[in-house]
Amino acid sequence: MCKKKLPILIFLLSFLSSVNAQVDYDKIPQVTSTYVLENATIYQTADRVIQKGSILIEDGIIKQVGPSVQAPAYAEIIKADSMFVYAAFVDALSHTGVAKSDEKKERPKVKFPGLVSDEMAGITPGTEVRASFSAKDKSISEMQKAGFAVSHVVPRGKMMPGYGSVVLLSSDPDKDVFLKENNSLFAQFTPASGISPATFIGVIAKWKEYYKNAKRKSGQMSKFKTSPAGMPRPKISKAEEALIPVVKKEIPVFFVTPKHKTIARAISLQKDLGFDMVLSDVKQGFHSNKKIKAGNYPVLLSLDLPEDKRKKDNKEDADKEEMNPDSKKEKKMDMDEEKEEMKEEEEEKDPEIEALRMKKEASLDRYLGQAAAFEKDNIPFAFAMINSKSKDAKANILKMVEHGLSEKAALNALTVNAAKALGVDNLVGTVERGKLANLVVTDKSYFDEKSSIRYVFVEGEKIEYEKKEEKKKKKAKDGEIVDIAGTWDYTAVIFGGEETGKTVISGTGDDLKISIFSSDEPNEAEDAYDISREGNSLTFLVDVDTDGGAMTLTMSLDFDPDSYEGTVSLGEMGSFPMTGSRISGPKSKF
Amino acid sequence: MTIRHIIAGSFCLFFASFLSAQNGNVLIKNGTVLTITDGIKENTDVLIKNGKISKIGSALKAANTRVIDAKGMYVMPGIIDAHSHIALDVVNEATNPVLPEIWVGDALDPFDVGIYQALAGGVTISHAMHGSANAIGGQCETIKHRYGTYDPDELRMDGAPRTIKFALGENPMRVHGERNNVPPRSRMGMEQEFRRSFAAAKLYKEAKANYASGKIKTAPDYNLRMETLEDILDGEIIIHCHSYRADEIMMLMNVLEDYGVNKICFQHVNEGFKVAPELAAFGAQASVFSDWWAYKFEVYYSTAYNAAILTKNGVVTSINSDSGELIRHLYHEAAKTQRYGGLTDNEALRLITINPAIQLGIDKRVGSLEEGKEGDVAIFNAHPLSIYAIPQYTIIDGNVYFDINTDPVDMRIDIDPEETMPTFYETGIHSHNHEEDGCMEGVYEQLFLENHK
Repeated sequence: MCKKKLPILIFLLSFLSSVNAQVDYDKIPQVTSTYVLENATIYQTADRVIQKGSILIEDGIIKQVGPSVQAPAYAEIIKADSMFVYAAFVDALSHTGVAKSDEKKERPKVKFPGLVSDEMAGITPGTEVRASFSAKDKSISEMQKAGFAVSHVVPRGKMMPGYGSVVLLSSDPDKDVFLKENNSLFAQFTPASGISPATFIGVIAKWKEYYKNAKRKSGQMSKFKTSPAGMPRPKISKAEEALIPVVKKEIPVFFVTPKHKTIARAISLQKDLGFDMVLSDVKQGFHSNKKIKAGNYPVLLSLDLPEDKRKKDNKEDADKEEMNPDSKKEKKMDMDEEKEEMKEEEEEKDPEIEALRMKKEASLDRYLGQAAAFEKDNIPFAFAMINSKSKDAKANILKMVEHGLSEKAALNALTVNAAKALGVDNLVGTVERGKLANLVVTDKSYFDEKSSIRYVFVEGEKIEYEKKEEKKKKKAKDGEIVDIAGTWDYTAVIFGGEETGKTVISGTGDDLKISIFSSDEPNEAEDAYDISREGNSLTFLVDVDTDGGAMTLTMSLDFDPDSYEGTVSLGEMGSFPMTGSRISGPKSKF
Repeated sequence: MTIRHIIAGSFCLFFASFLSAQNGNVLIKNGTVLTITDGIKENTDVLIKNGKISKIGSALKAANTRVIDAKGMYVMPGIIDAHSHIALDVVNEATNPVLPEIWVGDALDPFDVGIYQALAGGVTISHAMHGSANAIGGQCETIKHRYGTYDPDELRMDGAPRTIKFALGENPMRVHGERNNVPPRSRMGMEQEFRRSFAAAKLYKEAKANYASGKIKTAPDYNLRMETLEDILDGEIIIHCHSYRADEIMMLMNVLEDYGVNKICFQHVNEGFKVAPELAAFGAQASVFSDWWAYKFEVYYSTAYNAAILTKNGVVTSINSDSGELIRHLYHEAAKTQRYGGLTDNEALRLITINPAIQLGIDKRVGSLEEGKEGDVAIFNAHPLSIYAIPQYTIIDGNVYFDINTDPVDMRIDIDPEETMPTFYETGIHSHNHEEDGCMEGVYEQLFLENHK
């Protein structure tokens, strides 16, 4: 057996033993927090673009931006040639950092469903989001990954969950991330379950009563302050007290109104009571344009879109054709037959069902074209992530652009419009000197389907991303036995470190021979033993020498024609993911 | 965009273009006009201008006005349904036996295709009611069937009086007493719900008056429930009370008498025939089914003669649907009173026109064909009480909302791109559910199914 080193593995093993020393390795200070982005296309705003410009970031703010900047010696230079820089995105409403409660949702047992506490009814307007916000929640890194650096976060709950705040989506758990605190009241038409209010009309009735009482008692309280003599001290509930800033129009209500009817209902309620309102998470606003414009309501559109199955079907078909060039021949033979079948199908198409399908498609186009319609009507809008998945954000924005939204309007919605809606446009939303260094850097234009985000800066904190893999894996068909002979590469991620190399497989059936070549010692092969194969699943053992002694690795891999994935097991140390792809076919020699 | 999409888009715009072309003007020529309040006028024209009936006469002319040739047809006022639950997203808030602060006007659904189906039955106005889960339920909304609008507010019949749903008997007793084990558990308890509520409202009113006169320094808490009850006591809201049994009907009239309230229309009122003189003496009205009963214990003692007996005793009576299916042929329901009770043509037609208008407090505006009234008209190919009658046109405010000659296959206007669309038969609207009246919609899901949100 040849001697073989796995240096990263060893490093990590020693790291494991040092965990006991209680050193917080997460907090290793950055070498520098001064960065210069050089030679990039910089979108200061959607309208103001610097070709081949540079940005100096220091102390979390944008110190300089222009055709060239003076880079201090201690700055980290980031060569951003051919990259695009935008102000990092601002999410105008979401629960980012506010985890869902684990409590099982059971119906509260009450004596009288008509008489319940405010809390059970979902009326907790005084709840501050700080109490439920965690900087360690995984949603924060997910939002960063999508290009967002600021969120307006609100507590979870039912009809009046509480006050929202504007936060920086920083990875640093010790940072004070609250840019603006308790700047909004969050509201939805969500009823309580089985208790009052059990319907949204119950919610509306509660709104009217609580709001009018808050207004009345706010007056009583100021009267009591000035001349208390002979006046009983006003009795005010927690909920009513929390509504006073809304009554006084010090903070707006962010009302979740996805559908046309919910928009109409919120507007009726707003007109009746008179509070400041932001229509939020709007998905079907295209029937309400006139009302929204007339009332001058700020609007936050949802970044969630209905699924467009038509295109997906077409694409999938196209992909299939691409993937199986061999099957094309067979197809040709069947063509004539198929054509006839299709003809028959067309003749059999029920005109009523066809009309319904067309109506549905027209409706879908209106949903996808909502943002474009708002742009056309000159209604400014931002985006709310509250019921959207951050990983779909870009795809959905591109879909909106495909349906007529200009890139300019999309960029404004993602940045400066949201900043304005939250009253933080003096801090974020543009790439200008003095603003927080919240940037998103992409390798192509953000609106290019193939672009990937390479850096996100959150108040100068650099987060770097690998370039997206574009390769598509070819899957083994049902029942297909993959010829695994050939040369493959491998990547195993062990304790966070990458191990790479090549695997050469030759022979068939019971005479399989497998040799592993580590990238560290590419000329020394390690032969596998105890090889067993079941279908496209391969299991085998490899012995390796480490400085810590000999070790047996167990590899379990599932093969597709051009790739495989599986695990490498280090016995009690645990199992780690291992992937690879084909370098050459069965016959070629390594 | 493919041609297919353009066609589909134009489907959606159908209403917009269709209605914008209308201006509230229409001239109906040479029909047999059933005015309801002024006899039958043969070979007569009805001119509607700016939404109002401007002239009923012969050889009328008007420029820039759509002309409908009604030769051989019957022209009657738009049918009015005093009890329905169409065009509503919520019917019941069932968490409390007394909930007058709830208002179904907050839940109007302009996309309900049931509105168009009602139009196709000649119905122009319906009373969108709260359900019957509570003794004092929510407030209702009188709507005009202006189908095609996206704006819930455009369904409202502006200026129509406020109305509220009360309910007696099994429904509220079952929901609150049996299931939740809170009062009312019996018909005696029902009475106390009303008395307690009215008494509290009187105290509230008194406290407000004391504050206004300076007797107390602090205004009482704003209480929407009490505010609404106070409006009932002040006669600003018409009560529509779900009821079946004669004893309970008498009970509520006694309670109302004690509190000086007299605006009441009993709904269903299957045993109304037993207390018809008493109802007439009180000035109470009745809105009944033609022949629907036995769907629960308290509804067994019933008769198809009910409407006729009530009418002959001088009770203002209407026939209602309480159903998205019955609403499509109320003219047929009204005709049954001629077989059971021998009402005259005009008496039978009053049951679905001027009488429900009186019950909703809108009889000065609609319910008959008179100059100056609103231009709500239904046109039939035969006499509407004939079994062969088929509605041809339905007109609201002088705009044609249903025209049998241009009646599209699918009139749904809000299509969810992700939901599978049911066909008409899959929706179940076509079959009239005889097991339960529509008033209990949503109650069990709301209160008793664990997973309902």
